[in-house]
Amino acid sequence: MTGAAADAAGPPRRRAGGRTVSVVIPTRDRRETLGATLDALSEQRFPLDRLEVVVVADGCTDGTPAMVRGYRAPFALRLVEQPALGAARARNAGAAAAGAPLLVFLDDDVVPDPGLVAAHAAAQARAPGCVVMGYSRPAVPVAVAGGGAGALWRQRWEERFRTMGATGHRFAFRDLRSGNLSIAAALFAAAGGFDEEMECRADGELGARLLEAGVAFAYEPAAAGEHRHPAPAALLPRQRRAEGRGDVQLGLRHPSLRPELRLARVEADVPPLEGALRALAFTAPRLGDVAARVLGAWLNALERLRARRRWRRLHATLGHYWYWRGAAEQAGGRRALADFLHGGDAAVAGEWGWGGEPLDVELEAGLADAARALDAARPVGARLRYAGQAVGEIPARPGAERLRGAHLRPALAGDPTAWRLLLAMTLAGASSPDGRATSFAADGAPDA
Amino acid sequence: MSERTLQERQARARGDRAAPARGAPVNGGPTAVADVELEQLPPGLEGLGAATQALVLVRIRGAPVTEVRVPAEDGRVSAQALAQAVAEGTTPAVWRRWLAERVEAVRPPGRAARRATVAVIARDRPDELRHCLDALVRLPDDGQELLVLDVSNSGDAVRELVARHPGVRRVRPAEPGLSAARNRAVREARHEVVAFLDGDAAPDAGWLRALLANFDDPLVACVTGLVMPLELETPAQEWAERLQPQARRLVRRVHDAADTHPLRAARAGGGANFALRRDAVARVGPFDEALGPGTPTRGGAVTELWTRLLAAGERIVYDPAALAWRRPRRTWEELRQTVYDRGVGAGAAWSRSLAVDGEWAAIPIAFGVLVRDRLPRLYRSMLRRPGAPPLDLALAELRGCAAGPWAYWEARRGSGPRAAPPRDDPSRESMS
Repeated sequence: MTGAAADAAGPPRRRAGGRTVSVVIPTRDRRETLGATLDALSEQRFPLDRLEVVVVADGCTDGTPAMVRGYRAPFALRLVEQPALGAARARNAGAAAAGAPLLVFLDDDVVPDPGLVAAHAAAQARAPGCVVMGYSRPAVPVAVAGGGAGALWRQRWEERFRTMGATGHRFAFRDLRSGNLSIAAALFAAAGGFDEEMECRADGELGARLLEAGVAFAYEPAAAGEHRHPAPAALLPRQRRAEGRGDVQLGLRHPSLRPELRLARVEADVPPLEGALRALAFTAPRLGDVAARVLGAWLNALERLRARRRWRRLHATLGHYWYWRGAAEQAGGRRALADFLHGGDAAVAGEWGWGGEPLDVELEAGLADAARALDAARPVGARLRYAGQAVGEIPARPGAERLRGAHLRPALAGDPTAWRLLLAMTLAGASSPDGRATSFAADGAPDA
Repeated sequence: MSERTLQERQARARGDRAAPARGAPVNGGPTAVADVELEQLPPGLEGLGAATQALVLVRIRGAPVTEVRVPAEDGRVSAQALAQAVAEGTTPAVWRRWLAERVEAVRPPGRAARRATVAVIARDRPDELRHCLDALVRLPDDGQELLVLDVSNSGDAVRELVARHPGVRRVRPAEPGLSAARNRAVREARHEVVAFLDGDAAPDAGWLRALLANFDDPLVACVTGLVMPLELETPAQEWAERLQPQARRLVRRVHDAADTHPLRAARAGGGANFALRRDAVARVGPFDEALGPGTPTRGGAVTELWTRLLAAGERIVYDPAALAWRRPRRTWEELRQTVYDRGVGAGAAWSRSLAVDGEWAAIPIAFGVLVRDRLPRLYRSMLRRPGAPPLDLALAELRGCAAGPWAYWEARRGSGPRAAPPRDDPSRESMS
């Protein structure tokens, strides 16, 4: 079975044997970490007779297929081999080969905790038909962690999970990460799987399609694993370049998401070095690459000298360079990129999925009622009022899920909504002069 | 605005004509300390004795949000004066916090998700230690372990006190020095977090839960708290309070290598009230036993560990909700000695970072602090400007800092069976 896309037309095959969960692991040349992952899967609390693991070897040259074939596993272990066709095709192939109704996608460098599969299964049982993201704890080798790139990578990674886990987080397409993810096999097939033309951002693209179709996202921190990243610093050029390309592809497939991409962020004052590098990315990329590599060596020197601020600035500059390099490469030049960002499809940016009007939400009757109104209507945005006076809004965001009641409270605490709300409450006589609000928030238990 | 401008403005607002000579009464008399809840302001303050003003800590549902100073007459503060001072002293951030609590976008920390070992440093103030232990055993039981590190001279007093509190374990480290004692506590602790508290500081009711709530962020390796004075009667106590950085003292802050240079880690708080994650210490190494009270360097151990934590990419959170109350030392000589010790500790910590960790930036940073901050402050002290500390304190700190590197060298050289300095040396007292 080689890289065929998941067949969306017919139902996926179901194997006999009562397996309920298939773990799909695409891999390329990471034999040791894959071994650790398989060992960890052998120690799952989830009943192993109901577990199936599908490893998709994507153009492996280090003997991974031989290792997998020789591996004695207490669960059903299957190997799918394909020439180097990319992670998206590998995942789709794995999903097609899998037989269980629930798919868990795991990266080959995520070593699962004993409770990962069980936590995914439980979360899916609680809310059928949703997509569940697990927590991939960043584990950088100690020697690397003290260095700038390791620490930065770790911070960014943890920050992503922290925002997802915050109460009232509004899920967006970027939150879907295929490194530790569970989704019903039927849903995955109906959505058409990952886009096989995309190397990076394929998971965000699937997230966009799923959110548009109204699928719920959830974050389950108990479905945890250890993400063993080898050396963040060395991968900076390749990773950022792939992100640039991926963002352009994403914007082409979903024009309404363009304002949400990093490409669309135009900074007013770019430092001269960055401006120069960016110009090179468009006009003379080869020269730009050489300059970037030289600066990369200087970056390592700065790290050894412990010149932290300079290191950070240069690291950011180089990251931007490689990002724009990838974007320019994919779009085909500066003019094409400008058209992409500002051109004819701008009108499309107003539509998002279903379109729709923002909902007017009245807060005076109490927050519980307002939250229930949001849960019932699931609008794309909301205008918040107190006693008829406008106090704030939750804007419609392309690529984000529709509003639920849980999104209300965090929105009220922000600036300037909080001020306006306080003012409106005072004017309406809800607060007594010593600052005590008497009639507000006479709620029962707060919603999650 | 800079710390210096803020202090001068506050001093002018207080009516300070000139920086007082050492030992002279500040504010015209003692200052009483009060603690009120914003939503239930008392109708004035009574029974303040001879105090000429009151320092009022204002809380919202138990979490401290701001502090204000109100003048007092005949030992009382009128309801109107109090309300006015609170209204003027509350910043927009306070009201936003109030609203966030009302709409329940923010919840006060409940039962913690992780357990802590509380390590109390017991030195030579048995009365204060008794208050501390009484407050500790009254904390809600979240599965914490209570440990007393007995580094006092009068071992019996501490032992008897601990015996009167069941559930508290006493450990008497054999090696001299507070850093060795702290390292011992980290080794002996059974739980994920070790919370250190000076034995003369009594914790607030929400102290432990506030500390532990911050560890939910996996990047946080250390949480530091606020230490409020129980009384401000003598000029030494008032100046001990004023020498702390006053700006934004009641604002929670997250320190990261991105915004705080590791060598300025002292900004993150004081060594009297903080908590550490044990595996973070395993990653960066223990407290340097050549630093800290009980060694020739007299201090700097905690700051130096924080430097290493920040350099490794960890976060340090300063949370004023993790509050402890302390009665500062009363005499001017003790204050001067404390300031001197703090200077020595800072100089020694920088020396260690330079010599052992290769942080060459210690040199330009030390010079930067000297030239941009300390020397102008010294100049203002000499001219007796309002808001500037008395000259002898400013000089003591500089002398201490200059002695720091040599002290570190001595401490390292004398490693192994180190001659312990006399135990009743008040130099072991940390400033914050």
